[in-house]
Amino acid sequence: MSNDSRRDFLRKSGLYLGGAAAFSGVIPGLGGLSAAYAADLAADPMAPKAPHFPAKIKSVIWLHQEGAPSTLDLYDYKPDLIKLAGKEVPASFLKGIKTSTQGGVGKLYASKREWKQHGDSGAWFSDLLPNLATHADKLTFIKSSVTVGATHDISILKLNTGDVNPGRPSLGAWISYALGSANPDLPAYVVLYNGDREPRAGAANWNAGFLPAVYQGTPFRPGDDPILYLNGPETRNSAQQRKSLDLLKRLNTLGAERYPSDTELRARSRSYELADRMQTAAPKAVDLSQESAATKALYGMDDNHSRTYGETLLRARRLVENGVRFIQVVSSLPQALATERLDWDAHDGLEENHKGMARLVDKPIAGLLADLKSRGLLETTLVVWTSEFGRTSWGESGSGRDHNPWGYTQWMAGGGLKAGFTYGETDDIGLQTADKDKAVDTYDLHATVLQLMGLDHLKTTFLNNGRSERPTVVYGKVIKDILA
Amino acid sequence: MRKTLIVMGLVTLLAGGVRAAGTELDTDLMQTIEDTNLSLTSNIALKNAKSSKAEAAELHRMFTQVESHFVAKGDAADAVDLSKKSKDWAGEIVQSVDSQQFEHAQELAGNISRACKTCHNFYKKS
Repeated sequence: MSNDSRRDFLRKSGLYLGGAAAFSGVIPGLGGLSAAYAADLAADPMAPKAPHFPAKIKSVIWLHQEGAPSTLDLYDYKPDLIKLAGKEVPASFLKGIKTSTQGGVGKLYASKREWKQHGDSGAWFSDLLPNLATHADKLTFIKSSVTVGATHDISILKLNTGDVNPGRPSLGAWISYALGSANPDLPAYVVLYNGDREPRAGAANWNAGFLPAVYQGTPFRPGDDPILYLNGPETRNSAQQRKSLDLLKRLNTLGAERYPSDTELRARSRSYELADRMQTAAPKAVDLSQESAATKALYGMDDNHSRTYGETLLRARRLVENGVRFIQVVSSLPQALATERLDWDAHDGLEENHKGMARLVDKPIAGLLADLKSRGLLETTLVVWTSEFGRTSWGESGSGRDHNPWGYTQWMAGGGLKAGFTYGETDDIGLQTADKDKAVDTYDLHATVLQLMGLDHLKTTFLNNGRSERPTVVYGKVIKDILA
Repeated sequence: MRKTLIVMGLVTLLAGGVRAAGTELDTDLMQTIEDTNLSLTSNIALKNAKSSKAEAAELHRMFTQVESHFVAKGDAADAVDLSKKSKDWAGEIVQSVDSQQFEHAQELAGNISRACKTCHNFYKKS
């Protein structure tokens, strides 16, 4: 036997033995690799999968308002806060919360807002959101939102992954994993942002955690060229590219056979193929030149202030039309329009900040809701206004508000929900959730979104190192009262 | 002599109880509850009846300890209520798993997780 043959024999014997051992779960470190999981890995991991029960919606547009807006100045009208402005916070309102505002808890603060009720539902909106207010009856408010309040990065991580420590999959990744892709030519999970740079904490907020890497989100950049290097070099034609990809695929398949648990390799192989198909499908899906001037105006693209956010939302609608399951949109003000603060994080200068941020998002979101409705897509799409936390009833720095994880507003609109409905409320100064039994934590929001997608959060599981993991960790309760 | 020993034993037990009631709950116990609940949630999802029952029974025992602590401490009605509820849910999980009702057991385990969180929110140091 030659050296080569002997090496080959040993390698193959080792592989066969290793393979048999891995499937029976006896190799340390590979013990969690079940036969079912290995079979899943071998098949197309993005193949469409059946939900647990009929879904109400097909896609989610997750509007993350980065920096945490003061929903007290947008949706949560509190006459008592206006009356008590300038006074100390009554001790009864502070019971049970740990405050950490720099310089201590300030005096109650009311911004210069005008409030009005809108629609048949009579939902309150401040003058900062005149366009969104016209859609009051499409919205389902959750006015008893709570979370773990810490820094933005940590609370954003919790908002997207359900945990304050990195390493867990984001909600979009869980949905991609559980349902696969509805369009093989596009990613099932896309991240859009309109700022000049990637959102805070970056990819940790759309990663796949312990799920196979193929389920992570794919970020599209803002502007006319959202997908980098989509066009091949002029020196190589499509046939040459296909040949080169076929060779790469053969080599990667050999590698994948040798390392069946290497999900990174499998994700990379798939991404090459996806990239090839995307070169045809994606330009069409994200090309806004095909949209009419009226549609662009509907999204606020005729106003330089809201143009970039309008573009991302119009792109989100096109992705919904193309079967993308989860579109995570992160808002921030482009540098050209701001002096130093680029998001909703108004520790001071809230008046100016929120006017700018509201103008950025108000018309585009209203346009998105109107457009989805007119195309018959709102019934099968879920639009979620969310943020890492809210802001305090007391002032900070004389003109701003601090972080508030104890009671704030989020809303959803779309299929399967009671439209024009409000769930929960905050106390009389808008600081804490009034009825703790109605508190909605990030896990509950995730459980409800999954439910609308046809997924039971308790049955959406993945075996990680021998432990069955689910999107809601050990928590999560579907908010049944808001379901139609 | 035997009577004296019994009296001494009772006095020691009472003194120990008072000391325990006057101190904070052992953080190791709370950590063990958290770890056990995490593992229980996984075992219910995997329909591992034997481990689920053992861990639910262990939680029942630990919540009994927590309840006794807060009863002895006094002025902690919420903690007494939440630990009692959690103890009862843990007991109910054992029965649910016995009758193969894993979905119900999972909901009960979720109740325990939320009760723990609620209690920690009530009693965290401000």
